[in-house]
Formats: sequence, structure tokens, C-alpha cells
Amino acid sequence: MMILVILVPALVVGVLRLISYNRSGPAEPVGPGVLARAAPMLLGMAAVGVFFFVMLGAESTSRIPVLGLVLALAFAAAISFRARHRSTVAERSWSAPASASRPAERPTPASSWSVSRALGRVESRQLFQSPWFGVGLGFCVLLTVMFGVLFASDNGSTWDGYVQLAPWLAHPLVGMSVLAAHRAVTRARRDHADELFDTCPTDATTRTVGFLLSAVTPVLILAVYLSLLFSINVVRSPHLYGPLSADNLADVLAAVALGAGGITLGVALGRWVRFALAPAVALAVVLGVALRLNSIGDPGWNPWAALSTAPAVPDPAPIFIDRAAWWHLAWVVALTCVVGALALARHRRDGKVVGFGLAAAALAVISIVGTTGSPADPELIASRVTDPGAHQRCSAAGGSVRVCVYRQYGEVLERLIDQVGPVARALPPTVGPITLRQRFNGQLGDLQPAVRRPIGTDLPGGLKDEVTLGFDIFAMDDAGFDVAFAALGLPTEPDRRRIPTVVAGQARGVIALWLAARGMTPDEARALATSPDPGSPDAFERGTPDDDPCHTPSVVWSAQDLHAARAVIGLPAAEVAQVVISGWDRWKDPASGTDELLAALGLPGVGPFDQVEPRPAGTC
Amino acid sequence: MTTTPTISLVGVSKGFGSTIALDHVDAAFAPGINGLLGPNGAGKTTMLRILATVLPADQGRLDVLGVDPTTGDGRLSVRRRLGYLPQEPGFHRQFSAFDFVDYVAILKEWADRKTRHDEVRRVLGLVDLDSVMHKRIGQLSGGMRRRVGIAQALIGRPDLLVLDEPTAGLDPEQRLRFRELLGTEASGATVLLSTHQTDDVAALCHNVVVLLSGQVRYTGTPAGLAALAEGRVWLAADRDLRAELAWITGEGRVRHIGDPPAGAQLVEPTVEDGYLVLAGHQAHAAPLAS
Repeated sequence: MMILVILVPALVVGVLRLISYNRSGPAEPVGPGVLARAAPMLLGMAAVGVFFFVMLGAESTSRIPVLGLVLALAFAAAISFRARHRSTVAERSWSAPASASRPAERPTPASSWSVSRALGRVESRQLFQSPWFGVGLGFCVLLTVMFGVLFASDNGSTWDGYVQLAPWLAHPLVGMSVLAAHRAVTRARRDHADELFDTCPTDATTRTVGFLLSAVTPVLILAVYLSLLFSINVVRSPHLYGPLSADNLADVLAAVALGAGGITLGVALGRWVRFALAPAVALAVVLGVALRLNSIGDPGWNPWAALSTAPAVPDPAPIFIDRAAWWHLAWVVALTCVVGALALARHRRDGKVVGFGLAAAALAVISIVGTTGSPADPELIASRVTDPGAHQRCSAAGGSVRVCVYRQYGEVLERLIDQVGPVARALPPTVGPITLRQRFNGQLGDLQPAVRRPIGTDLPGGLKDEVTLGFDIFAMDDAGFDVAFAALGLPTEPDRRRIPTVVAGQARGVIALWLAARGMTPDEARALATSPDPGSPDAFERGTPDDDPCHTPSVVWSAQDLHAARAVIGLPAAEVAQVVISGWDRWKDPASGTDELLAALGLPGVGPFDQVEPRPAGTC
Repeated sequence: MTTTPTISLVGVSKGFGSTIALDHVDAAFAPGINGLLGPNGAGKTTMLRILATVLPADQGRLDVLGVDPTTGDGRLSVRRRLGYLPQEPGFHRQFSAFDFVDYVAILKEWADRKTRHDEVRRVLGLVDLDSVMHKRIGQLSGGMRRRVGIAQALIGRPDLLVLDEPTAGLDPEQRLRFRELLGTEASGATVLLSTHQTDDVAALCHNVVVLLSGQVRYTGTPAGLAALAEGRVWLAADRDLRAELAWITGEGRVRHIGDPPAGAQLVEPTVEDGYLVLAGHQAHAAPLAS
């Protein structure tokens, strides 16, 4: 990985040098050409890399590949800048031309649109020489590396929920596009070339259209970047699951459309505002408004979030929310068009421009109504909440255990069966039916009002023999524990105050760990019964194997119970199963101690047991 | 060469606040190379900027290439036939010379890429910058940047060339090349050239206008301008304090303008001498014509 991170940019730099050499010819010293032009962009990308490196923190193992990438980019940028400065041109004399030149026939004046397109091509190329745009590209590269490579295996949400992040992933490049476009539009004024340009027949409006057409560049880059990132995730993120919906296409299109929005905002600011920091102020305002829109009415359903340029991903799983994603796309497109009309109106306010602006404004208003309106089929969504069984596929896992998931997420059924099957088969036949069922994973207020109405004032609870499954794939990895806890009469969730049940010194706690370890490799099984901080002075921390500081376990052991569990797990499974099954009712009783179980298995006792005080956990 | 004027100014005035840059100026320019002489602040640049449609006049009538540039259509028509080099041209320093001239060509409505690139290469070749056309402008010397400015003005062989101090920053050899270039490339066009270099005027221009304090003080040939100093230019060994103007020449003698110093030798006047005589007149004196 490190070799690739260093080799690939070095190869790129080498190719760039080759291109610029070939362009300038063998008689010339190697000129800057493409290489030198890339300097600001490479510098911008390296700057982003440094930012990410610092943000990752000292303990992160991902720092090393990011550092490699930063060094490679910095190396390429240094070569690029050196090429720029080395190629300072010595004064050249002005020799007489070898022969008279024949000028081309002066063409008939091209249409405004042709001129705008030609300008758009130039401005699109110039974007790549902007350090600001380079910073945006750097973010795209770094986000791809982080989400697609380094942390790919940490992606455990549904595909629908993941793709909803597309606008967020696009924002760094969009923001930098605002800055780059503003710099482009104000370039003539800063370089005092405006007097010369104003004597050319192309009017300011045509030039504005040319700047706006450079939006093609960030649009294409975003399309490629998001496609690449999601494609990489298909390969490298084994835990992402669930279907993609048509709404996800709207999510991606909206993110791509934001690229055009960034350019139009930068152009409009450059045309109207003579303040150099205007784009930075505008970005701060847009970001502030976006975040504020996302937090209106928190917690609970927020219809205004869809008007944010980066809508917050709703907490409940996607099948419980009708996001109006296409209206959000229409909103983004309308906003872009309104701002584009404003940019044009600086120099031209005829019927076409005004009409275009008004039409865009009308679309924006319609979009606001659409995004804040009712879902298309609220009864269907309500039914998924109140009667999940009617919308689910179920499969027997073994013994009396079955697993039920919503049909849209049927692909996780097999994974769950594989996890809970060994646990289910290890249970005695006297254990009653246990159903692991996916249920709505939020509060009533998280649902849209039209969905809440058929449900009433309270969410329905699960049946007595049911264990609620969520939608986070990593939480589903605890399904084995859920089956074991349910069979032993232990809770599968902390209580209402987020306080877990303490089973210190109880045999049922050790048996729960042994059951959950069924089907695991020896190393996995040992880790299951090991605290990440066995040396902690806190008995609570010594007694929980959960290494997620943001998660509240339902059960906490003592350090001695974990030690006992590792010993039991190390015994032959058949031997333990015989003792467990034959004494099942005894071991289920909270009064049965760990040492009793160990004695039955021929193991030495581990008491006395820590006094573990129950308290809320998962405080991050 | 036709003498019918293609550009005429009648009673043109322009002010900037309390400063009057042009004061009821009457002038006419025919096809050929027309020089504009005058000290700093005389109004040369203002006149050129008005004719290049950068600024509107406050008063007066203008006719540029047969159209009235005060109207929108007139301005567009002029701009389509105009090549302009400002006094201090601004360049996008991060652009290469080729890219910058190409950009100007696009603004001049050369939308077809092949034709445009051929023209850009041609004009850069005229100023002998084709070997460095892909270098960034920021890396070029001042003289080479000036040549880039000249090149962009020559795009499309315009009918009207307005050049404000085009030879500033050029060494003598480059000024010679510039004269050659103008002689070939601008034939048939109306060229307005403002300069402080009187020998450029003498070598290039068939017509010269001298502006002083916003007013035209002379219109005519360079020879006629030189003739204003006829009988008033002397060379002496030493400086005469009574002379209107005196300076040491490269040969070590002192050139005087005005009454003859003792022992001085009368010499043929140059355009510069005529200009200096003119500039020494009172501001309200009547304009002189040949």
C-alpha cells in the first residue's frame, strides 16, 4: 500500500515531465508546461493531506498511508514548483521573420454561444491550475482513500443510508469551486486586464456564460469521484447491505449538481461583490444555513433538512422515511439556476434573463412545497412500523430460533443465520421459541406526521419472545449474544436509564458467553470474553468485553467471570454442552454462582468476585 | 495612401473631476501611422481610450471607421475592427503567452479553435515569441511581455490599431523590429500610436498630433513639426544660460534651442527639437499646423 501510494504519484509526475518535454522539443530545456501548471493544484492537494494527517490523531494506524500520500504529493508539488521557477526565460532578441505571414481570413463574428463555449473550455482548464480547486480535488482523493480504502470495512450501514452521504462527500470540492470561480471571474480586475478585455467585442454577459460553463469540470469530477468511491465500496466494504433505491440516484445527481452550484455562486459573487473575502463569507453563511436547517426541530422528524445543501441522514432506517429526494434535487437545481440568473443579471436584465430567473425561483418555491409535503404512501410506512411481520422474510436458525428481516434487507438474513445458528443449535430443546426481528429503530417523533397519524401516540412493542434487531450491521454481529441472553432470561437491552444488568458471579453470565462463542474461531471466542482494559482500576470496565465507548452493553460481568468464561470456552464443546443442557434450569437461576458451574465442569473456582456497580455507559 | 480621414474628433472634451483631460479637441486621422506626442498628462491616453471605446467622451462628436462609437451598435462595430494596446496592459501572469493571446482572440469572436490557434501562432511569430509561447507570462521579461501585448493587438489584422506607448520597455533593436512590423502588418489600417520617442515618430508616422494640456497644438507631418525649430537649433562647446533649452549631446557638445549662443553652429532641427519648441510655448497659444 505504501509503495503504491508513493509510486503512483511519482509515475504521474514522471509522465507529466515527459509530456512537457515532448511539447517543448529536444532543443529546449524542459519547460514548465503541464508540470508547472499542476503546481498549485498539487500544493492544494498536499495541504489537504496534511490536514487529514493531523486530524487522524497520533494513535491512528491510518496515519502512515496518509503520510505517504502527503509526502508523495508534496514531492510532486516541489518538483512542479521547481520547474516553474527554473524556467524563468532569459530575454530573447526580436529577429525579423523569415518570411511574410499571411493572416487568416478574419472570420465572421461567431455567435455569443460559440464564444461562451470557447471561453468555458479555457476556464475549465484554468480550474485545474487553481490551488483552491486543488484543495477540493485533494479532499476528493483523501475521502476516497479514507472511505474506500482505509476505513472501508468500518462501513456498516445500509447502502441507501450510505449513498445519502453523497452531498456531504461533495461539499469540499463544491466549496473550493466557489473560491476558484470567484478568483477566475475577478482575475481580469486583479490583473488590470479588464481595460483590454472591455475593448473586445465579446460583452460581459457572454463572458459570464463562459465562466458558468466551466461548471462542467466540477460536475464531471464529482460524477467520477462518487462513482469511483461507491464502486470501490462495492468491493472493499463487505458490510454495506440493502438495496439502492431510485431516491439514491437523486442523491447522487443532487451531489453532482452542487458542483454546478458552487461555480455559479462563485461567478455571481465575482460579478456583484467587490470584496475579496466575499466567497469565504458566502461559504460560511451557506454552511451555517445548511447546518441550521438540519437541526430544526431536533430531535424528531425535520422536513426542512431536505432544503439543506447537505441534508442530514435521518436516524431511522431508510424504509421508514420518504425523503423527497427528487424534490431535493429539484431544489438544488433551482437554486443553482437562480444564482446563475443573478450572475447574468449583473450586465443584462432583458426578458430572457429575468424570465429564466423567475422560472428558477418558481421551481425553487415548488421544490420547497414538495420537500416539506407528505410522503407518497404513509400507510405503507406505518404498517412497516406496526406490523413488521407482514413485510419481512423469516428463516429458521436452528432449534427454536428464527430470524426475521425486512424483505428489502433479505441479504443479511443469511449472515444472521450463520451467526446465530451455532448458538441456536447449542440450546436445549426445552428453550421456548425466540424470534430475532428487525423493528423500527427510532422514536415516534422521528417519523413524518402523516406516518405517525395511523400509528397513534405510542410505538408498538415487540412480543414477549421477540428480540429486536436493528439495522447496523455491526450491532447485528451481537445477534448471538441476543439469542443467548434471551434464552437465559437476561435482557438484550440496557434499561430505560441506560444501565446494564450486572451478572457478576452468576453462572448464567458465563454460560451466555460460552453460547455466544459458538461458531467462532478460538481467537474470536477468547476476545469475546476479554475486557479491552483488564488492568483498569474500575471493576465495571474490567468486567465488560465491549470495546465501543459509544455503546451501552445490556449485561456486565466481573473480571473473574470473564476469566472463567475463557476457561470454559477452552474446554471441549461437547463436554460443556452436556453440563449446560442437563442443568439448564439451574444455571438460568440468578442464584447459581459461577464457581458452582466451574465445579460442575471440573475447573477451579475464580471467586471472590468484583463488586460491580451498575451505571450508565456509552457516554461519548 | 488615402488621406480621407477614417477617424474624426470634433469638439471632444473629457474631464475627470476637476481635471480637464481633453479640451474641445478637433483632430482627424487618415489610414496610415499617426503619432500622438505630448508630455505626461497631456491627454494622449485619454484620447486613445476614447477612440478605443474604453471611455465615453463628455462632449463632442466622434466618427470612428464610419460609425458613431457612442451607440451600442457603433461600439460593437468598432471593437470588431480594433486592435488595442493599453499604456499599461495587464496580463494573466499564470497564463502562457499562447493562452493569453488565445484568450483575447476568443474575446474577439474567433470561436473556431483551429483557425484561432493558427492566427495566435502567426501573431506571436510576428513578434518572434513563438519559441517561448508556452512559457508563463510571469516568467517573461518586461520587453517580452510588451511584445505579447503587441501580438494580441495584431490579431485579425484590425482596421484600427490604437497603441499606447507600444515601444516602452523595448530595446533599440526591438524598436527597430517594431517599426518594421508596423510598416508591413498595418498597411491599409489606421494606426494611432502614442509615444515619447520622437525618433519613432520621425521614422514611422506620416502624420503627428501634438497634445499639450488637453489641447491639440500641432497637426501635420513630422517634417513640419521639425520645421518649427528651423533656425533655432544650435550646437556650442559650452552651455549658454540664456538658451530656452540646452543639453549635452553624446559628442560632448551642448545643443541649444532658442537664440544663438556665442560661437554656436546652426544645425538642422529634428522632430524632437520642433516638439520642444512647441512645448515651450504658452498653453493658450493658438495651435500650429504645417
